[in-house]
Amino acid sequence: MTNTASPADTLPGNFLILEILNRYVPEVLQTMAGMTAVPGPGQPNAPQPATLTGVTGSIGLSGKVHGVVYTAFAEELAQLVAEKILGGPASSQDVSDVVAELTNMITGNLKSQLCDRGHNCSLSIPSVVRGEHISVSAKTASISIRNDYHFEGCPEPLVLQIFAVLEK
Amino acid sequence: MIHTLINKGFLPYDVQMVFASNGAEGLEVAAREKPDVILLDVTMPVMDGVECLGKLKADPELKDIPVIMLTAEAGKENVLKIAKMGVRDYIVKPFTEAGIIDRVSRLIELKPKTAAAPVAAPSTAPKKARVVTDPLKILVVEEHPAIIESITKAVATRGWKIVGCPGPTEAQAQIAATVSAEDTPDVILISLAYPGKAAFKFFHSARSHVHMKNIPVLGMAVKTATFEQSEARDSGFSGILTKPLELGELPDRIARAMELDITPLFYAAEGDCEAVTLPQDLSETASVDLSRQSRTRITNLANAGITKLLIDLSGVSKIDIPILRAVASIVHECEKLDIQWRIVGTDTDNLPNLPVFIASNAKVAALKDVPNPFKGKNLVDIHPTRAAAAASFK
Repeated sequence: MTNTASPADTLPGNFLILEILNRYVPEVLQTMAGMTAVPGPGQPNAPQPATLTGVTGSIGLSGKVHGVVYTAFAEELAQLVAEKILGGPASSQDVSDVVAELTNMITGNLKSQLCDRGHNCSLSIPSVVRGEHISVSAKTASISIRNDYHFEGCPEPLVLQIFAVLEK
Repeated sequence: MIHTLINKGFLPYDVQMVFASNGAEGLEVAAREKPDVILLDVTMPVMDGVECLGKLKADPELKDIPVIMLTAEAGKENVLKIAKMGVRDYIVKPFTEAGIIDRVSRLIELKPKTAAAPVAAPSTAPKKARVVTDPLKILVVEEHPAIIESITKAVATRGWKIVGCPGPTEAQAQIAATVSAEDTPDVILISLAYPGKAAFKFFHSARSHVHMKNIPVLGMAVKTATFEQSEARDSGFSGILTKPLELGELPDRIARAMELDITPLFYAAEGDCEAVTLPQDLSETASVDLSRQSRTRITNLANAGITKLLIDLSGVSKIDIPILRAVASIVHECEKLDIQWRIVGTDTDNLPNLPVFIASNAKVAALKDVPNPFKGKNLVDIHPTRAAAAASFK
C-alpha cells in the first residue's frame, strides 16, 4: 500500500493554515493583479491583540473551523492593487470592493483546502473596514496566525491575520 | 470588481452584458433579458449563487439557460454539489479574463466586434467545419515549396486539403476569386517573413472580405522574429506557428485555431459503454484541448444516460505529461458526474501506479491546473482488455 498523503496533511493546524496561505495569497495577487507577493517568515503563534492598518477585508468561518480571516492592505497598496486589477483609476468604493473580493478569493481557497482535509466550514460575506491601528483579537481562538506579504516597490506589506479554532 | 473585470474582458466581442448585484436581482434580470449564458457568482448578499441557481433550475422559462458558476471554493464537495445542480461549467477564483472568455466561448460563439463590416452573406451559406473529422480546406501562403509540401503531408491523415500560394499577391488573387462561402478556405497559414509587411496587408484585406472576415489566420515565423509575432497578435491573428514547424503537432494547432471539437478522434461507443482511446503520440496541444472538451463530452454522455466509460491506454507504453493530463481530467469529469470509469492497458509492466504517478508530478508546471482525481486511492486497476473492463462495471 502506498501512502499518498501530502506532507501538509500531517502539519498542526496553525502551520497547515500558514502553508496554505503562503500558497494562495501569491497566487491570487499574481493572477488578479499581476503582482508578486513574497511571503514573510510568518508567525504561526502570533500574539493577541493584533493591529491592522489601512483597508482591511474580513471574512468569518463557521463549522469545524470557526474564526475570522483579516487581509489588511495599506491605503497606498490597496489603491495600487485596485488600479492594476481594474485597469484604470479606482475610487474609494472600488478599492473597498477589490479588497473584499481578494479577501473572498484567499479565504475561499483556504476553505477548500481545509474542507478537503475534513475541516468543513462555511464562509460569511466579506466586509471591509478602513482605519489606522485597528486592534483585533479573539478570546476563544486557539490559533492566531500572522504573515506579511511583500511587494517590490511597496513600502508596506499586505498583512494576513487569522484567528481560528480547528475541530476534527 | 467582478462586474468591471468581466465587462472589460468582453469588450472586444460583439456581446451585450447585463449585470445584477445579488441573486434576487439576478433572477429578475434573467427573466426579463433571457440571456444566452449566465455567469453566476456564489458569494453575494441577499441571495447567494447556490440558492439563485436552484431557483433558476426550478423555473421552466430559465432552466435551460447555461450557467457558469464563479466560486472561490474549489473543494471537491462544493464542485460536486454545484455540478449536480446542473451548472454547465465552473470557474474557480482567482481567474483571468482570458479564462472567462474561454469558458463562455465553449457555450456560445463569440464574434469579435468589427467596424463597419460589409453585410454578411445570406444565412443559406453552408456552415463551416466545426468537428475535427470534417473536411477542411487550408490556404498556405509560403514562399518555400518544401514547407507547403511538409504541411500537406502533416495534415494528410486528417483528410484536409491544402491550397498553396507562393506569396500574398497570389493569395490575394485567390481571395478575389472567392465568390461564395463554399469557396473560402477554413483556415489560412501565412508566413510573416514577406517584405514590406505584405502578410499584414493580406491579413487586413482578408478581414475586410465578406466571406473571409471570421476565418482564423495563423502566422508562421522563426522564433527570433519577436516583433513580427507581436504585431501579428496585436493585429488579431489567431495564433503563431514558430519555424521550424512542429509537424506532429500542426494538425492539433490548426484544430485549436478553428476551435474544432477534437473528441471524435478519441471517443467512440463500445457496446453500452463509451470508450476514449489515448494514443502514445498525444500532443501537448491535443492533450490540453481534449482535457477541456471532455467536460462537455462527458456531460453529454451523462445526459444521454451513458454511465460507463473505458479509458483505453492499450497503445500507451509510457505515461507522459500529455497523457497524464488527459487521463486525470477525464477521470475527474467522470467522478464529478458519477460516471463509472475503468482503465484498459496491455503494457502493464510499463504503466505506472497512476495515483502515485500523478501525486509525484503534481508540481510540474504543465499540470498545475490539472485536478488529482486519485486522492485517497493507492492503486487503480488496469484491465487487459475492454471486455474485461466492461465486465467489471457494477
